[in-house]
Amino acid sequence: MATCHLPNPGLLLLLVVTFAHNAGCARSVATIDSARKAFAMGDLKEAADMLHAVATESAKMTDAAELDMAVVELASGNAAAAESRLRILRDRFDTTPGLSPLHEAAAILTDDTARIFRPAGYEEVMIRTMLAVCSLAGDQIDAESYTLQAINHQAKLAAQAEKNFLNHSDIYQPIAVAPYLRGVLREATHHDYDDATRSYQLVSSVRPQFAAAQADIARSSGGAHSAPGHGVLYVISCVGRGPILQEIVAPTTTAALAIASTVLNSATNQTNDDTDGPDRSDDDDEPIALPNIASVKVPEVVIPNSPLATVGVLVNGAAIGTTETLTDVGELAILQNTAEMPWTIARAVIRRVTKEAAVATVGDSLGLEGTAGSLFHFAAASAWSGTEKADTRCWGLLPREIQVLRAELPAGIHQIHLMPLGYGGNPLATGVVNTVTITDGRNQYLIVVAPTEQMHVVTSDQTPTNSGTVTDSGTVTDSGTVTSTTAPTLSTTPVAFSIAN
Amino acid sequence: MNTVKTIRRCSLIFAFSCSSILGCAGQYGHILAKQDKDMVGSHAAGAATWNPLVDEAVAQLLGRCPPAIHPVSFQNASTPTNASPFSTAELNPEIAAALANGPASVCFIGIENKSAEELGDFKDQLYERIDAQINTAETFRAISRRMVDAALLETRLRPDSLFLPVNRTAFAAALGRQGAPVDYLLYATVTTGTTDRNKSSQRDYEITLEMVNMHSGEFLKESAKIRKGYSKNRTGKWWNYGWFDQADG
Repeated sequence: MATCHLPNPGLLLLLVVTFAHNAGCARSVATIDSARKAFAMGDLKEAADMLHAVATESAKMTDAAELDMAVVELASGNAAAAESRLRILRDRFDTTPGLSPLHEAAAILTDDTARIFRPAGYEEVMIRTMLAVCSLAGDQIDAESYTLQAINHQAKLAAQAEKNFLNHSDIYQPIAVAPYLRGVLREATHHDYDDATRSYQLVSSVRPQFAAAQADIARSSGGAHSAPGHGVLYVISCVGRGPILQEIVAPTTTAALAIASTVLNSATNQTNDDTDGPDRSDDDDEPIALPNIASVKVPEVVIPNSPLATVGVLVNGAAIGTTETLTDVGELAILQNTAEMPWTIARAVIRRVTKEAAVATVGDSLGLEGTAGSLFHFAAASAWSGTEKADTRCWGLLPREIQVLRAELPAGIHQIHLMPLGYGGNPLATGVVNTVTITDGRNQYLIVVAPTEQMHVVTSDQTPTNSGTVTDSGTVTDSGTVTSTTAPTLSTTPVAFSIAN
Repeated sequence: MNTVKTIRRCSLIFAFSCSSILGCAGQYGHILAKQDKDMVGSHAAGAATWNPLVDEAVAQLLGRCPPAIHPVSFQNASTPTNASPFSTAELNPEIAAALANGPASVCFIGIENKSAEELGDFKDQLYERIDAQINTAETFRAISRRMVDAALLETRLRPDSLFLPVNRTAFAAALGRQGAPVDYLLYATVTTGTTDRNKSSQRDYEITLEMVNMHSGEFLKESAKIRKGYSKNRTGKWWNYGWFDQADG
């Protein structure tokens, strides 16, 4: 008489929960992708609605969606809301424990999406940097504090990376935009030129390709902020579509297997030490043999295509230059992902080993042996592992690059024409015209959010002349003025911009 | 596979994962009592270094400055009565009369950081601390920082260029137009000197206050110094400077 073994209820429950969890996750990831596409298309309202839906539907995706939402708010001209949201997120990430036992345990049973979302190191610095940018687009009260926080956080990350046994230069990539903004703000005080010089020197060392740093250093160490009767316009542009994470199947590398093996053997040795006794068997000394795991699912950095290379600036009809890359966010993401990859793969291997062992235990407890046992093991382990997904949560609406242009202008009202330019220096759209009031001895900031040729320009200038320049598709908000590139009223002016490669 | 062993290994993996991540927590704050010590920075100067440095330097500077000016001192301005470079007796009668009306006005230009460390958010706090302490002295009245900034903006002069008499005059004229005549310019400079010895190092922090008499060009300088040791571990303090006294080689 054949014995019917009922499946373990705990295992069944686990499988059901795992499937349900992954189904929900897949839906949210698709939606956040759609929101990012809507943002790239210039449909800020649609992007905001989608991100709100994602944040509401999936607790796991809330933080990533909120980070994206802050960029949408900034692009919409609501810099105060973006600043407030980023401030809350910064505090939340700062107080979230580095690792949560409950979530880590859940991640071993399911996948890395069960872990608490923590931004990558460069994203943490970028939160503070974007806070500074939001402040510059708004009341400017806390901008200097944010830049200081960004610099301090970079130093903290550098110290942490130095302690790690990972290559310090691989895992820690300083970001030039934070010290640059600090230099800009310190120079504007007209008495802290020494601070400005230090900051610009740091910028130059972090990003030697940034040619404007040499002029900044020369000016701050021997010159003045601006000539009498002049002020300074800074165009800070967030150019291109930033890096996102996509799931790929990656082969297990030697380094990753070594990490996984070390972790597992360390755990085993710890137990052997605890249970040493006269009845200890010899096979306890055997190291854990990792199963033959050829590949695992991991996140890979993808930078969506964007034809936009830089932003051309014309002042009162005359071309004065293009914005220059200060920070390459895409490069930072790729470097960080590459540096963390052995650990990501190692976690996946450990997870796979745990699952294989658990399935084997259940098979034994069910009395399954021989072919039936092997089939059960294969089917259950494959099904369980097949539900795994790579953790692709990230701040996807960061720009590909942050670029800046400094222009010293006579005090007074100026027409600033911002034009999206392609890699060949060709205009991609008619651009945006803003009226900016330059004050003697002061800085004025134009924040450009340009994921594609669809640009959004935010300025803190609240003068009546500026408010009248909003193009027909733009909206004016409480905290700033925003214009978008879809203005058909702008005549295309022949300009000669050259793109430095 | 041995079932017991497998279960044990599975549980161990969980235990290892969990045990390695315990102890993480949020962030808390508390108010320090007046008698609580300032924290000593492990990598940079910090409050325990800067606060006493400023206090000492300002106290020394004020101690060397001439006492409060009394109108009676200027009854015979042509007769030198004081050998100090800050003596008001050598001034022409108009300036002397102006000074006689009250405490001398001091324009604190700012702090120049020439040290190996970034002052960060300490710079503005040190400025305010020095400014406030100058203001508490009965002999001096500090000019508002906002007026100083406005004059720097108007003249586009760099703080370090004010040492030139022509620039000083232009700057004083700008302040005068704002209704803030200036008698002294005050500069602060932060410097460091670092000595490395294997994994330990010593850093000497020095703050220098320099007061320039706008009328005569004479200057007075005072500085205060604090030495600080940095080590990779706690025993470095005793190894280098304590019982073992290894710092001298």
